[in-house]
Amino acid sequence: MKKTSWVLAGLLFFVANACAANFVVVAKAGAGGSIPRKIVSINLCSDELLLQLVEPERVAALTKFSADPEVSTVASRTKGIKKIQGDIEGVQACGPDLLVGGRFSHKETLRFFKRTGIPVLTFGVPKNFEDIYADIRKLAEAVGAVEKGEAIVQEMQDELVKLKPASGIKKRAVFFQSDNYVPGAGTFENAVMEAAGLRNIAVERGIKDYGRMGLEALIQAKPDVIIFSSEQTKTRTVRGEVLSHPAIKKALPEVRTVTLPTLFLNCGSPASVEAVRILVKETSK
Amino acid sequence: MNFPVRSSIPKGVSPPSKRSQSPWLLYSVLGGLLCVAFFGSVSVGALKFSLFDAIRHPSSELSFIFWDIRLPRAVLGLIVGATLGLAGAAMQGFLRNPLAEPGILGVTGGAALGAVAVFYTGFATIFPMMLPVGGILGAFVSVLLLYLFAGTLASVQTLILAGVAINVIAFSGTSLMLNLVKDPYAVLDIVFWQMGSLADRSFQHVFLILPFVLAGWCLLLWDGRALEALSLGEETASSLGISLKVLRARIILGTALCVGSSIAVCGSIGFVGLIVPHLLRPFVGYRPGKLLAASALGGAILLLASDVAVRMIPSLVELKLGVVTSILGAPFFLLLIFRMRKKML
Repeated sequence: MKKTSWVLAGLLFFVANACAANFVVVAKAGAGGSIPRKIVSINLCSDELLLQLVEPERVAALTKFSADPEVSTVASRTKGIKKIQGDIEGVQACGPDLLVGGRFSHKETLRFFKRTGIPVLTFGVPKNFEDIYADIRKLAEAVGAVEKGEAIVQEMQDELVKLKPASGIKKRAVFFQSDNYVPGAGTFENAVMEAAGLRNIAVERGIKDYGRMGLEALIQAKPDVIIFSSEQTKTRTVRGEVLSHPAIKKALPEVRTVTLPTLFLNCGSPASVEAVRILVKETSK
Repeated sequence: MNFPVRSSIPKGVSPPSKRSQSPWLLYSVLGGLLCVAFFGSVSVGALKFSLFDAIRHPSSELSFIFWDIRLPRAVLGLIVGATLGLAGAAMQGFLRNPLAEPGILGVTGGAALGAVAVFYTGFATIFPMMLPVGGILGAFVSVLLLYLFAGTLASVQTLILAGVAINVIAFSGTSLMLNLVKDPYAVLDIVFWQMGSLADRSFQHVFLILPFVLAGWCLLLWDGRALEALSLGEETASSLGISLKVLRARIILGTALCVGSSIAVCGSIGFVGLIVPHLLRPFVGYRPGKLLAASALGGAILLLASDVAVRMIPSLVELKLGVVTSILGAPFFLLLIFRMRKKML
């Protein structure tokens, strides 16, 4: 029975997390035809991209997460827009002419509306900034805002060039996440670290995607910088306390710790540049 | 300690052998094994280094790893393992049922629910002491429910069903909280935490639970004589001056204190209390009183050894301790049920 509970809880987490981390849009709307005016988004990440690209009047509904300033970068712009759960009936009630969502969340809803002929766009998890540019362009085309999309991409690229530190000795960093997870090659966190001119210790150790690094290995690796994300500092459980484990402070007295607000990392969005900005600022001192 | 013991011996089991006459031999064997397990626990980890070097060079990197990572982990393993073994033996003795165990009967689940409630409300962050208190309250309510449902002389079926019911209640409560929690990361955190682990704990956790655990141990170890008397039947026990009500209160409180606080810092770790008393029972002449201390030692050995195993088994990610004890314990549980069924037929 305990096993079942893990499976259930795991699924539950997966659904919740998929909401926050991955996203989807299907079909090409607006190509030649009329531009969509009742857009519904059922994933936080598509909420964020959408509000960057279209006027709020054209958005029929967003996820409830979009209004939470702790996880959403567009919370201030969601006023007056309906918040829905993402179930089929809830979406249907909004009468959408374009549905956008994440690849892994509310699959049934996405499949249902694909069948009914409403344009659906789905987004995957970005692995780098190129993926974000592609997502922005994809959505921009679908909502008939190609120029705006290009402008946003251009602005992000310019910002990243400006932030790129002059070449020199790269500081060695590790992004130490909940339960000792460390993002390695091919993760968005790694792209952010690279953009900030840091060398990712997880990549040095040959970790692809996500791997684990215990406290002992962390101490042995002697990082210059340890990055945490802000959700961890809320330490809901005993495990969260690993981040303030006395052994880290004693064995690595020189290490610089940087806490990145989770909302800049949840999704690949124009706001992700902020994560790079914080890293550069905190590590170049 | 001159109670006749024959009556408590299940049919078909040979009478106690001579080795049961000298518990000190058993204790010293267990003590020796415990030292080996403890040494193993501080020696094994991601890094290979000689403990001698670590101790000889204070304030070196290795010494911090030894003193602040390895040692608290081993100490916590000892405390939690002893707690689970002792609580299992005490519950089996009091309920006179070899399938009684904190995990199976829902005490662990209740403690986990209590701890999750403390995380969920954020009390744990504001006031760390609330964490063991939450675990203890959860465990307390579970044990209380168990005795209300099942009483002291319930049949195996009634007892196990009561345990299933309490586990379901605790699980629903935990699921409800996971369902309601706003922050998806907290869900991940709680799910992983529930799998049970001793990894990366510090002495802060040890000191946080130590007073509660020691109080619980005292209450349970105190009951040795009473449990021996009880094994002769409730009437005999009463005539020997044992108050069942007081005994029950001590066992409920003792179990809640030590199991609740242990689970609160280590997550759900099950089956230790089932396996250990069962294996050691023949060596103490089937005497529930002597089984208490022996099971505490045995529980500590089993948990430390399992914790060494999770670090030695080569796998992509470190296995969770609670998962390993469940993998060991579940077949054992089935085997016990199978044997009992055969006996009943």
